[in-house]
Amino acid sequence: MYPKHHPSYELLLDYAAGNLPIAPSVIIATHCSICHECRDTLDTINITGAALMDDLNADSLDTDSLENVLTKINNQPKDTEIKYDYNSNSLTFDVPKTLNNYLPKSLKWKNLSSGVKTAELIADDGFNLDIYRIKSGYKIPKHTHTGFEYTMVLDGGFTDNQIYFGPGDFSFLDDTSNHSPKADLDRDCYCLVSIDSQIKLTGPIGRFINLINN
Amino acid sequence: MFFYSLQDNSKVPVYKCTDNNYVPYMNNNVLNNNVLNNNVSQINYSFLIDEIANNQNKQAFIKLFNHFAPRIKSFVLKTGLSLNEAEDLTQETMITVWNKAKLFKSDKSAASTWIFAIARNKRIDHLRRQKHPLPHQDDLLLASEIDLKTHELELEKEQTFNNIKLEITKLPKEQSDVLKKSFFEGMSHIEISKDLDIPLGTVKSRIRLALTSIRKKMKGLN
Ligand SMILES: [Zn+2]
Repeated sequence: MYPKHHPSYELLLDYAAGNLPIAPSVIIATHCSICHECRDTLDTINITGAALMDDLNADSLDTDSLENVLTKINNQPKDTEIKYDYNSNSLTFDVPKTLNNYLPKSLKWKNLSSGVKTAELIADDGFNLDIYRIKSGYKIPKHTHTGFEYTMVLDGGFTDNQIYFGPGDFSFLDDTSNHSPKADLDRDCYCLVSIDSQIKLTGPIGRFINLINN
Repeated sequence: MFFYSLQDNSKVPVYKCTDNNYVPYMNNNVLNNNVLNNNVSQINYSFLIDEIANNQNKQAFIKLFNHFAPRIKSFVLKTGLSLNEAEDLTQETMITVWNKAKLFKSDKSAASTWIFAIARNKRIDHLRRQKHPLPHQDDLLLASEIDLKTHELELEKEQTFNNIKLEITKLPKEQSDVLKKSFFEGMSHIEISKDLDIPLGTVKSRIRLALTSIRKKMKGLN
């Protein structure tokens, strides 16, 4: 995957410094996991953070600090290898491993409208993380946001305001954006989506979706 | 006390280094105390982490601890957590350094970058009570294997880090202030714009300018 649309520097900084809620953080981590360019930027951010931290005056530790740590190291079970959880999930395509910790074994799909199904991964901090499945060729009615929307394409693709988003592509929309993404004709489009408040849909079908949402 | 007994170890690497200003911490006079008491910035911390990974070397760990633990504590305090929390997170970070030493890639990043990232993530986990999502290593297939000796790269990375530190002190104050608010005060770029009462676009461009110049410096040095 060679993503063409990336999170901005300021979003990557917010993510790396821990100043984004968990749901958009997962989306950015997932994008970065498959994107050389953003990993490069993250490296820059990490080295910057470390340099700033290295410059801090050293604070005094508790007198038994080192002793405590050495005791804990000695007393922990040997071979504390790091293990990753690999969930099997019900998706029909490969997802980045970064996402594994957040995918339930089986996704519970809910109909949002005739062309869109959603499955919830995280509900936290006022931000939700969902997978959206948009039916091939379906066009989501024109809508604006009252908050921010973070999206990353997992499989398939969509066109929005004449810009194409394919696998790995990231999009961030603020409350001024008015958009109407349309899924590829040949296959369903799966996206990671995090929205920090209810979508306010402005088209005729939108009012219907709003009713379901509220 | 900090006698560093690596002479028994056959794995002492031979460094090749083209920069005359760089005094590698490990050399043939490993046990010379003058080397140990030298300016800390000249210690090759990456080598100490490799020592933990390969030989569970406690003395190497103690040296890392003495340099990093007080700074980690100072960082956590600066972000507004209590003395107790700061001490706990510092100890947890150092235990993680010990346990995950094998995952450290000395050809990819400097020891400081790796250790401070662990500290930052511990703080985030602590505040969220949930693990900070990090890109999984397996997701990115490296285009080509880097065909260079690890230890040469290791020195390069440590040196890059020191140069980047210098570069950051040269950033315009308005740029470094924004970075500090992000790393130390837990503010998103939107919150920074409100806090400093400046337009969002100004915050974005300060972040962009700062990171671009640091990135250029990194590219130029590697
Ligand atoms: Zn990217």
